Amino acid sequence: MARGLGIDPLLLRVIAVVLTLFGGAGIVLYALGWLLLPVDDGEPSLGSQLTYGQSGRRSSRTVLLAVVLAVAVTLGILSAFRRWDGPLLLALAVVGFAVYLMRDPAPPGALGTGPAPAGAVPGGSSMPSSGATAFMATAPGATAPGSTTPGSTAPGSTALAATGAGSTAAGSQALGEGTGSTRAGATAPLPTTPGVSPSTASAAPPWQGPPGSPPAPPQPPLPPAPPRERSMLGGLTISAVLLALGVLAAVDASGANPPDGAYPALALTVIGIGLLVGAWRGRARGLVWVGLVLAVVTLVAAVASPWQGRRDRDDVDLFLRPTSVSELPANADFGAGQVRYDLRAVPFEGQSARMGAHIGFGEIVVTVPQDVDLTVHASTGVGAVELLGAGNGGFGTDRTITDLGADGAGGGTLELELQAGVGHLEVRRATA
Amino acid sequence: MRRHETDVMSLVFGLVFLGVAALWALVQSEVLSLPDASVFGPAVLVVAGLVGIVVTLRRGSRRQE
Repeated sequence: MARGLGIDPLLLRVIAVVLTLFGGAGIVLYALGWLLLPVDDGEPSLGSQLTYGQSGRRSSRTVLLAVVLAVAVTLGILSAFRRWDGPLLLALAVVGFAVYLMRDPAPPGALGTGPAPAGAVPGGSSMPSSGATAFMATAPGATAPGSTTPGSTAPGSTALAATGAGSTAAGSQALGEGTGSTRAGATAPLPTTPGVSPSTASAAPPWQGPPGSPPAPPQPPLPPAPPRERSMLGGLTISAVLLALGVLAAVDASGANPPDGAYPALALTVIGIGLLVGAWRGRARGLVWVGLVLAVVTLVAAVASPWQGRRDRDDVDLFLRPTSVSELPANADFGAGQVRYDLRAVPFEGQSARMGAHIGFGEIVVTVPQDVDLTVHASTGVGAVELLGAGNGGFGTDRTITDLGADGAGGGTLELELQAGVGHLEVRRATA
Repeated sequence: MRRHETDVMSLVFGLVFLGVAALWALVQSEVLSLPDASVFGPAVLVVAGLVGIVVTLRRGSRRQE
């Protein structure tokens, strides 16, 4: 499976474990780090590589990861909808970081192909620069044949071309199939075709020197400055996100009770700021993927849980108090808003009643008499369902319950059919 | 970090994400009820889209000059 996805098997395993253990909440943090923090060996982070538009394969993997993330987040929401547990998240962040740190040395050691070829290209320069060197060194080789692509799109064509010949040096480390990287790196200095695009001109030293000569490459570590500069924003933003989450978690742990969705909303805010900065300075488009996932989580938290604090308030849009069975709607349809039905005044004794109500966006709360025998079928597209105190929520919630009330069988029967597109459904018994 | 020409994609998504976060904050703080949110949400998208279009067009016309 890992091979099929083109992802480091270890990573996939870690995802599976984290997913299983924590219901998906922590995976966000882990993946954020994996996606956007620069790897130890100086290879640009996945996010920043995506930013330059490098490699179809790579970005499709990243998209895939984003999809996996979205699924994981959904599962997490389903399993622990109202529990954005601060300490748990903090622990997850720590675990995620530990795993992340452990991951880096592992692929080279286990697979033995990663850094070696990359390091061989610049003639044994230090690790931190070798990754970037190899990455840049592929550029002249691949783009030299007449490419005039300007600016940041150049590396994209670079990677595509280089992927055909082998894999890019950068990709090889993540993939662990670095056999092609030596070739890509070695061929880089050979072509001496002029007309290289502006961005690759920075990597000029290798091919201006004697073709194919190994001594030249040690220079490239300096030229790749622009790409590094760009990747800085992604790293900075993600670091800021982690910092903010850490502070929030500390506040949470100290007793304050942040509202539901505070964590994803905070992270989303920081990412939004990072992107806005990136609109004019630096560049970190990779943040968009992370932001999309967080936006979904934040939206769900916004629409599906705000009722906890206002449940007992009366400022609703519509307060209906039918007084007979015949007044119960067979199929009421509301667009958006907050609707309350108080059925306490309805004499259900000895009758068999049915009521149906649907709301597109909002809330329906039904209060039923203590004794009526109740069958409720409630479903929401997105949002929480709370039936007689037992609640759950998420996507596509569909629940049916039967309850005979305080007096057991008797007191009439009521069949409730409730639906909400996005929102909240609640049925509760009247208190004495 | 060098200043560069406006990156519309970053700008638009940044606006949308901040809008979603603001929506969440307003709903949580009960400034906004859900019916209001159903207006605010699309408004975020409309604003971000308009900003994106305006920035793109302005940049395009500046290039032509």
